[in-house]
Amino acid sequence: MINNMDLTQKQYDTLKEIINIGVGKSAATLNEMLQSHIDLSVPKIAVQSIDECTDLLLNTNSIDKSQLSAVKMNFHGSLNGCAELIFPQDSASHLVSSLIGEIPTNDEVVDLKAGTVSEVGNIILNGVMGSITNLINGHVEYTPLEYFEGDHKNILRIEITDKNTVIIFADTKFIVKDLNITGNIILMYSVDTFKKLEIIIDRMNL
Amino acid sequence: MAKLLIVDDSFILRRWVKDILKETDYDIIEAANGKLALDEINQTPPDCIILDLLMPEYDGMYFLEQAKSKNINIPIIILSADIQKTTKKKCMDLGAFDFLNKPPEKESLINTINRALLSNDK
Repeated sequence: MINNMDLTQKQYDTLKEIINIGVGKSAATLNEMLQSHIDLSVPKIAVQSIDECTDLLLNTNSIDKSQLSAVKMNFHGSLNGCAELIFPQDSASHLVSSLIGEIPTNDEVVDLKAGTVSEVGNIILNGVMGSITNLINGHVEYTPLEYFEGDHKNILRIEITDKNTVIIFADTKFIVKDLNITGNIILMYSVDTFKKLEIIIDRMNL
Repeated sequence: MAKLLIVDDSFILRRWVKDILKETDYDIIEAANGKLALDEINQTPPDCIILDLLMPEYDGMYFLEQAKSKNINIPIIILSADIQKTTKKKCMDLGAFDFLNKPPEKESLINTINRALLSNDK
């Protein structure tokens, strides 16, 4: 079994700091967009097998268990994996009215919510991933964003069939108290071997 | 009146940019992907293009390559959420006029468009 204990404390701290910087950059962008303070939780980071990671995702208390709106972006290159931005439906609606400046009618609510959450997701997830790849002097290519609505079991599906895949999982919750918006930024990196992870982390420590 | 073409698959982003530029006197047209943008250019060439990168049906990078190979001399401003230094370099190497990150900032966007339009006059 692979767990966090397979990382040295220095490697774990560095990984956490890389992710903190990426999430922090995105929070600053969201702060500018919404003109409101963003509270961030300390990222929860785990290095686990695919099965353990699936259990962790489905059982985490951090993510709302109601209906969710989410955007997902896959990436490959120096790092492979996916990034997701998840909002409870109420928060997604508040996000739309905060950014668009109007409360959508029933006819346009679906398109506006999907369009707004997708574009916010595009900016936030690129902010996180771009900061991280810039830090490690790497480069990733992105696939177009996918928008989802559903419960947490549908949205937090991991589409990797190889049971030997190791996942670096990071979950950061953010809260915009003024606007009644909460959400989660989830990063999942599939690391082919721990060797690759060690090389990336060691490069950070140069 | 200068004609601007906004190329982005997100209607929210196109709406956002138009809102930022509403006090200017640009004539703004839109395309939802690179293929439609190339069609638009063949019909009525704009004076400046604001281009997203990640789009279905001819992404921004392919559009830049096509513009370069077809000698389309219209200044192209990239407006992307991708903040990777390597992506910016690739776009500039392909002839982009400038590279801005989303979300668009009013002053920066208008200044960059004005610089692009001036460069097109030369």
